[in-house]
This record gives sequence, structure tokens and C-alpha cells, in this order.
Amino acid sequence: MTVSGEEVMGWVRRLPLLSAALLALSGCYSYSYQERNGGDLSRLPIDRNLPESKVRWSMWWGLQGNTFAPVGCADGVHESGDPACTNPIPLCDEGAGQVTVSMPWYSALSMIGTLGIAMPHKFTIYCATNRPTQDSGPPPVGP
Amino acid sequence: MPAPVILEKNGHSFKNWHTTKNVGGRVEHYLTPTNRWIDGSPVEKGFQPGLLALRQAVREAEAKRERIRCVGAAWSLNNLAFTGQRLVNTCRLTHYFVGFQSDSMVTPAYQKKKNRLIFAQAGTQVVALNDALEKARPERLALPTCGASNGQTIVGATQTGTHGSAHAYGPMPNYVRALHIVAEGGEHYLIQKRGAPVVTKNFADYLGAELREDDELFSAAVVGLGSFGLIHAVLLEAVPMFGLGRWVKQVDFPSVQNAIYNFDPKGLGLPSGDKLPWHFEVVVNPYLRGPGQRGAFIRVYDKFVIKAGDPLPRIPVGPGGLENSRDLVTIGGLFTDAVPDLIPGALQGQIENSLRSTGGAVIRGTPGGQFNDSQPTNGGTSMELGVAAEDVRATAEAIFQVTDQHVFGAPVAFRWVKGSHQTLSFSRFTPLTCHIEMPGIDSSRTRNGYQMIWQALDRAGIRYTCHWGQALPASPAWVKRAFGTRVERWLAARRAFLSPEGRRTFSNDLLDSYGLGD
Repeated sequence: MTVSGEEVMGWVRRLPLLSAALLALSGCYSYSYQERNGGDLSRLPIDRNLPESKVRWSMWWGLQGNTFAPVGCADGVHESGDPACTNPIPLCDEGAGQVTVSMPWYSALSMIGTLGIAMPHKFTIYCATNRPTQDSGPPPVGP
Repeated sequence: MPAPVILEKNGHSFKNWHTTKNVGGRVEHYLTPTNRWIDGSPVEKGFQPGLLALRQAVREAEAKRERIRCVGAAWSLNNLAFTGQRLVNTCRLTHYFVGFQSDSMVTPAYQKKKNRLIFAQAGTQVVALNDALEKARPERLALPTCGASNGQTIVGATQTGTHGSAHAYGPMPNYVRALHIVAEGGEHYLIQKRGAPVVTKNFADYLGAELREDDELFSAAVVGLGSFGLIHAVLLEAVPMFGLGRWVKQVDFPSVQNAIYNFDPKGLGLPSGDKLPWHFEVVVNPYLRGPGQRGAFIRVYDKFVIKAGDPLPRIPVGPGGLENSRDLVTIGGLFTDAVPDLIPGALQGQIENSLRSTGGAVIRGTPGGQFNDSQPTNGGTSMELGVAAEDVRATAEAIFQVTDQHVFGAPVAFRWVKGSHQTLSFSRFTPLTCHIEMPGIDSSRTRNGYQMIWQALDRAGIRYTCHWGQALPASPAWVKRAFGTRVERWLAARRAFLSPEGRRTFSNDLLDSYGLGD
């Protein structure tokens, strides 16, 4: 089989597009931590319908880290993290039940484009909804 | 009374847990009520802020003539829960209590077992109840059955008629004893059977609710598809704690065919011998049904007694973490069918990985320890049929005829549940309903496969129901065929409970399309 110079050039021309597509696919990777309860070691129940997500940037090859400590808002008007919120509250009444870290589609491109100076990650926090307060003993009893 | 905290997002983009295509969409008012007061004052009864929030949300919807529905753990693989106008996320409504202290709040029939009653708000997940019941005093308790997984909210699961494979018990709504519903005008009702009441008016008064005792209303509303109002809470009846021993074996399909078609486990070498175990399930790779292909997987759970004071059996930790079971949607939904020729082998690998043989051993645990959460699948779906036990062979053959012509990435799982008398329960075939589930990735290939199966069953004249929380036929005709006169009974009960305006408020497009909105 012979490959003409024109065909080779065709592949070379497509290479940046192909590379960009493959790098963007790295945005599909994600990692999660999920808390367990102290009884049967099941995963803690979480509010999966109202996660708090944000893209955070770590800079200068990791020399500048980034801590995510969001708050919620109880004024019924503003969403969590809105500086105009008049009644900030803890984001999760029962603490975080699951934390997922993923790379936005532009993470790898950003890392290469900035020579590693800026690397974004997406944090998603799922609030626990029933955190047992004790490992044994009676649960709440009714009226 | 102070105002409750309701977290609100306007123009929210709602997706279900499995991010199934065409499920969810933009929601104008996405409301997450909580059990806390906005001024931070202490909560006297743990459920009060959440209840008030639901009542307030209904009144606001009515004032603007908008529809309002609730969503729980968002496991439904269709738009049954969804409305784009006002959608209430109940996940933070997780107050519950186990047991009553006062005899005056329960009927004489329940006074001796009042410690087994559980009052749980809508968003309480099965996993939380399992944990609480294991710790209950004076006796440890368990839910009689579950959906073979534990991430659903108790109301989401029961409103859609979710089941496990409890052929001697039935689906989850069987242990619901009363429903606490916020209906028109924000008025709220405690609904139980007249023929088998569990609580007295004293308990309704404690909730501030009106007590309704009505067998038809209860039977319709317990699998009410979320359309009798916003369900604030349910009253459940648990049973003394029991253990479950899991045993999984990979076999050839021909060796398990008789067991599937006749619900007869003779000769399978089960730990229970020729006796049916508490939970009997067979998952088949429809493309590897020949001898020597090892395309069938038997999963059973045998019940055993745990005496008071005995330590609870715990699931062992394996190389990949705790050795829990995986639910069926997680098995099928992690799959891709982009290259059809690779489907049979890839599907086999996926099932083998998920239903790992226990090598003859029985893994013992509590119900809470055995079943796990459903992992998000990025586009998973599933279709599940309910058929009478005598129709299993014909149904299976119709399914295999379709899969032989049209390859799509979904195993075929068979489970059996005692028939239910709840009006729109899709386990409606008595004495036994066989549920046949095909979880897969939500692609056009899969959707076409489901469509072909429904058409094949219609042509063969096989009567079937469909799981309310999974892929459903587009044509409304299946509802009448599946449920017959039960549909009219369900509609009549709803009409007696809600005005035309109320029925519109608590319905949605999917229910309207099936003639269940009015």
C-alpha cells in the first residue's frame, strides 16, 4: 500500500481537530467520594436533585490551590453563593454526602494552552439528607 | 408560625438521576422545601416546616393556575413526575419516626405492634429507613420488601408501584398503611382504609390533618402516580428484622428455561433445594441462549431469622469495596450499543461483572446491607413488563424473537411478585405477576427494540402492564388493555377526591396523554 503525500498532509491537517476532540473527551472523567453510615455501611442518602456545582481553578502548576466552601441562601429569592443573599445558611443541613470532581471539557486544552499554569476542575457537592447522629441506639420515636 | 425555608430556582434545568434522553427539561419554579424555619427558630415537630412549605407551594400554584408535582430521588426513567411549571424536590423532607408511644393514636388492632409503624416524610430514602429500622427498639425491624435497591425515596417508590422479587409478599405499596396528602387549597388529609384502619383521629389531629377512611380512595392513591396531591408522608408497617442470604450462579439458558417458564426451581441446585427462595431472579443475555454459552444468571435471596440479641450479619468487604448487589438499571445503563456486532459479548461481560457468581457461597446480610444505590449511568433507561405467570413463556418467546432480529444492548431479567389489588399497581396479575425488565442505554436502537416488543405482544394478544417509572408505550391504548376496569375505578376515586381544577393542578402531560389527567 502506498500513501501519497497529499493523503499524509490531509491527516496532518486533521490532527489538531482530532487532538482537540480527544482532549475534550477527558471532560468525561469524574471521581466521587461518598460517605457511608455507621450501621450497615450503606451510602448516605443524598439530595441528588439539588447539587451545588462550580468550576474552580488551581493555578501555577498547583502552587496556588483552591478551596471550595459554598454557603446556601434561605431568603427564598437568591440562590446559594449570591452575594445579595440576605440570609446565608450552611449549604447542607446534614453535611455533604457525596463530592464529585470532574474535568470540564476544556481542562486538558487549558492545561496544554497555558503550559500547566491554569487547570480547572468542576466540584459537585450533594448534600446528605439523613445523617445518623449515632451508630447505635433508638431512632426518633413518635407521639 | 414562622415561614419555612424553601430553596427556589427559577428556570432550572431538571434531569433525572440517569440523565435519560427526553426526560426532564426546563422548570419555571423548582422548589426544594426543607424542615427548617427561615428565622432559625427551633422546630417543635420535625415535619412542620416541610408540611407548611408544601401547603404554601400548592396555594401559590393554584393562585397562578400552574401545575405542581413532586419529584423524589429522580429515578423514574420517564416524565411521570415531571412538570415544567412547579416541580417540588422532596429530597430534603426526611423527617421520620419509628414507633408510636401512645395507644390513643393507633387502633386497637395496632396497639400491640405500634412500635412497628413508621411515619416517614416523602423524601426519606429507603436506605435511611433500613438504617433506622436496624437500630429500632424494643425490636429491630425491616421493611418487608424493597425494589432490590435502596436509593429511591419511599414515596417515589410506592407511588409508582416499585417491587423486588417477593413472590410471597408483593410490591412495596403493600406495607403502606396511610397517606398524608396536601391537596387543593393546601388542605391536608390522612387517608387510610376504612376496612383496616391503623391510626385514630388523634394522630390526624397531631398532624393537623383531616382523617379520611375510604378503601377505594386509599387503593387508588397508594399507587397514585403522584397525582392525588403532594404526598407529604406515608405511614408504613415494618416487620421484625430478618436476614437475607445472597447466592448467584451463572448457568446455561436451557438449564434455567423451565424454572423461568413454570416458576419452578427444581434441579437448579439452589441453597433452598427445590423450594422457592424468598427472592428468585434470572437475568438472561438474550444473545447467548445456547448450551455452553453460559448466558443466564440466577440470583436468589433466602430469608433467615435473626434472633433478638444476635449480631447483625454484615456484607463482607471485597476487592471493589462492599460486596452489595447491583441494581438492574446500573447493569444495563453502563452499556453502549454503538457497534451492534459487539453487543452480545459486551453485554455478557457487563452482566458477568455485575452479577458475580458467589462460587456456591451464600453471602449473608441484612436487607439494608444487601441492596445498594443505583449508580448514575449517563443515559440509562429500562423497560419493564408485568405479565400473568401463565404468559411468561409466550412473552419471553416474543421478546427473544425481537432480539434475534434486532440486536440491542439490554439483558432480560425475570422476577416474580405476588399480585397486588392496588388499583393501578402494575403487579396486578394475581396470584403472581412476572416482571420482565430490560435495562439498557437510551439509544434509538433500544427504543426501537422496546417498541418492537410492545407491538409483538399486542399482536400475540398477551396482556401486559408496564412499570410506571420506566419507558412506556406512546399509545394510550396500553393503559386500558393492561388495567381494564381498574382505570375507571382509579379515575372515579380521583374525581371524588379532587375537583376538576384540582385534577388539572396535580396532573402533567404524560398522565394527560394516557387519559389519567381527568
